[in-house]
Amino acid sequence: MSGIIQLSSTCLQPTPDILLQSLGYPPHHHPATPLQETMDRAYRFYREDTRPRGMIKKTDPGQAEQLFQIEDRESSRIPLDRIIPRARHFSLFAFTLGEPVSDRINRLFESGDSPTATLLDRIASLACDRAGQILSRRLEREAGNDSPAGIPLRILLYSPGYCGWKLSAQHRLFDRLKPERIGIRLSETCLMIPLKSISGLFLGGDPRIHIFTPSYPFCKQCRDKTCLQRRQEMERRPNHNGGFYGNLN
Amino acid sequence: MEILTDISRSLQKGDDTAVRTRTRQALAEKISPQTILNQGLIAGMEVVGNRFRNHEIFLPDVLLAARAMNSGVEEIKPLLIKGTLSSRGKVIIGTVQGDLHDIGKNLVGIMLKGAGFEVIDLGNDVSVDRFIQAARNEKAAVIGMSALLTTTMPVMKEVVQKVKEENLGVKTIIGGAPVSEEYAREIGADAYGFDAGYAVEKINQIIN
Repeated sequence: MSGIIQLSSTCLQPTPDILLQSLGYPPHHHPATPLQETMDRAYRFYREDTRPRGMIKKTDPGQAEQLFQIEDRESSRIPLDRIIPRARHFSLFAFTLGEPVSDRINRLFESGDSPTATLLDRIASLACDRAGQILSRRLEREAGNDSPAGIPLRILLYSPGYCGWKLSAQHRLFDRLKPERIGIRLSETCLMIPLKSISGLFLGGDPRIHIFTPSYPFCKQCRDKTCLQRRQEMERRPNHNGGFYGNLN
Repeated sequence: MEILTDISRSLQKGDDTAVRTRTRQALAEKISPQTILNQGLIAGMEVVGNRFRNHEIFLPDVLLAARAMNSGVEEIKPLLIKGTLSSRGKVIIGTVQGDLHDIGKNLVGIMLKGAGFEVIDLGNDVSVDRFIQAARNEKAAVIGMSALLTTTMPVMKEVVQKVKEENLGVKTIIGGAPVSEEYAREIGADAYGFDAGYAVEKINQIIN
């Protein structure tokens, strides 16, 4: 899988339950009428206004390492230093939902409809994350035949701005991938425009390569902690003995 | 009065149509706009604020309630004697220069309005000078700054420094995903807002 990729808005759309849980509601919450109507409106705008497009380009360990120059690191040591040497899959990636959905969110806020704007914003963010997950699974399936016998390949997306990899690395990533072809550009401060876009490097290998202890200097300020969710996911993954990886400590 | 309780309850449910209709009815029954505001709309919003702080309801519920409150306020606004719709203070808000993420900042603005503050929203990509100029021109009580990017956080520091250098007498509060209580202390900001609800609570504290 390489080049420009089309994904449908529908396959990226989060379920109402996922949407509500992302906003703090308990699982299987039944929204009251005003919230349900607002959700329906936000989903309708999402379907009308999203134009999902992505790009993937395979790369190699040498080129991948060049994305982590000293000026693109929060500290001299970052988790990717340990992941890259053990990875056996490398792909550059960018994806956008397009400009209209961001414009719609802004217009909704300006018109005073902040509930719909907020829900649409969250739906769009979840859809971007979902695009990364869907494509990582596709890459895993595609690379399946290249895996050493019995060892499952797990591909995850790493993005500038997270885990000690500075946002300034977007310049190097963009130089190599050229996502301008799908309508993504960088602002002076390395923000992707349209805002509802994601980018990064897919890295794949034994599931254990993705596990690290969040004890780096920049982990103290991190409120995201997706590394811990990732760890739990890895621990639930089947291993080559037919069991599960379990506690990876 | 039952109708005021109805307004408050409808507001808590986020039912803007009912709030508008019941507000009109209350006005037709010769209930004063000030009474509707205080005992119907603001009373309802206070319940919503408490339930949000206790994690009984969540952000969309608060936003729906705030929208319902606005629909009621729109009905009574023309009838209020000028100056009686008192503000608890002016707050300048903006996402700092270089950053275009403004959802967090927008939510703070909505919550502040619901709590009775006058909000002047400078939008996103706001320079140090624009923050300072707006605070001076508007005689603001607070400047609230938001950032999602670590690269743009130094702008917050510059604003805080300039406020102090120019002795503006304005309090400063910062928020956003990469920002922390520790960073707020480090740059000398008066407060840190972990989220929109908490930001309103902190602003209440620093201006009193």
